[in-house]
Amino acid sequence: MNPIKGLLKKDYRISRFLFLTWIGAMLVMLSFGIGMSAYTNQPAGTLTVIVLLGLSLAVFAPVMMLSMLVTEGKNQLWLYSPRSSYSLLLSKFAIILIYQLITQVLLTIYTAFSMYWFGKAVYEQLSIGLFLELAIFVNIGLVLLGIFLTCWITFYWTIYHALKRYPKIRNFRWLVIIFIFFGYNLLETLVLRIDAISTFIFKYNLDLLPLTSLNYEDESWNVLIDIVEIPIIPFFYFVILSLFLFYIASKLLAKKVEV
Amino acid sequence: MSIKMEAVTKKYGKDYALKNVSISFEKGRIYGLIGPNGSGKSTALKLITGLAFPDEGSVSFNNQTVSRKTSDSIAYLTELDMFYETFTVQETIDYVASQFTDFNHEKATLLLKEMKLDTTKKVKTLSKGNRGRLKLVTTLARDAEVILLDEPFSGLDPLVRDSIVKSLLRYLDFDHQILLIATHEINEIEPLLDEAIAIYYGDIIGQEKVEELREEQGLSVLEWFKQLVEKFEGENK
Repeated sequence: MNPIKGLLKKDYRISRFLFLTWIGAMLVMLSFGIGMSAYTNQPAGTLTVIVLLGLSLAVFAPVMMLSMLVTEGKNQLWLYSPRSSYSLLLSKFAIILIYQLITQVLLTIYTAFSMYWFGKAVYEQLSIGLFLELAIFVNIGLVLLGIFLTCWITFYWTIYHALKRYPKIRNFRWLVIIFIFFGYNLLETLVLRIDAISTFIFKYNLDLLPLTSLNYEDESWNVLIDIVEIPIIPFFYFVILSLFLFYIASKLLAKKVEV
Repeated sequence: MSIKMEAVTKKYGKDYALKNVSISFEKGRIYGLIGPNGSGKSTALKLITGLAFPDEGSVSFNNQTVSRKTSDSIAYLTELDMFYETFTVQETIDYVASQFTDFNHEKATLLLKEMKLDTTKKVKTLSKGNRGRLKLVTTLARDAEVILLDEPFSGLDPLVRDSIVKSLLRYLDFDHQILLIATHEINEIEPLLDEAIAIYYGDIIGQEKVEELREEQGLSVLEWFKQLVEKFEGENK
């Protein structure tokens, strides 16, 4: 077994139970949604489940990463490896990404089932092409959001463990994390208040895909379609910020986090 | 092949784990790092493995500063349980084998048989003795240049201790490896040692060739260590 495969297998094994629990909970919720909709003859059941699970997917990846890092933090065995810290972290990202994709595919199939078969009597139908376009757009968005938040979590975790070396702040490590969190968000808000910067940031937009929402009117569910504009500069900023956070986390893991 | 610690200081909070320690280890020798609990033995081993970093000074292996990458050449048996509880014995072996290119599967199979470990058992169900045996399998199955054993006898019954000593004799290539055993249970390892290094609350208080100690001074390692401690405490009163 090559080292990368070994790392991937290990990360799968330490997270498998949590993932299967999550899938189990998700299946219960999906079944509940169908049951509710069948009982009320309205799509409210499945729709609620789709929205709830969709929202939970935004935090699925960072929660999964935190759980894996907490497991590793118990003995730090993973650091006793000649593999680079990038490999150690990327292996976890890869496993989480696979989990996230499985979950998203399940939810997309459920949404399609809900709209085209189960809810055909109540939904004003989207074309298959538009549905697929929308599904791809939302799924890519969720994956990117998951990666972005996971980079933050990994960054915070490595900061927290790296500070263990410094006895004066060891007991106040949580405060440092909170300070970074609020400090960064405050800075971002203040920067966006500057008109020139704000105008520049939102100057270039991409009319990417239709944004849809469901509307209940006259005892019928309608799909409202609108164009969504994606600001290009923030998108690249978040990509660069994610890479930066991952880089710092990897460096801290290699040089400052001790067993 | 050599390991060098030069003027190494390591602190945990206000306490010194190691104070300005300079020491080197050469190929083909078996070293015993002896001292009471909390004297800095484990810290020294972690620094050599690259799992901890010195506050001052440097640690090098073959003239290269030690980093995490150094673990490629250093097999380390930790005092702590460094296992994934949900893994089976076989999964644990497979994981270690995947990470270290010098892992010798044939040796691992022989060791597993000798240690009578059931490969299908989960780590969390293993007794303390069997966990100790498993740690030994994952460490000794590597054809690494350096073997570091941190309290290999800790909490183990005499039978297991005996099997560990036998395994060391059988599976290590003493001419081409550095073996460093950190322990406070001196009698267990005395027959194996070429050199004894006495460490006492962060200070290296003595280093002696065991054969010379026995033949010229007529002392066992334990007696020598007690003398050193008394002298050190007398000087530092």
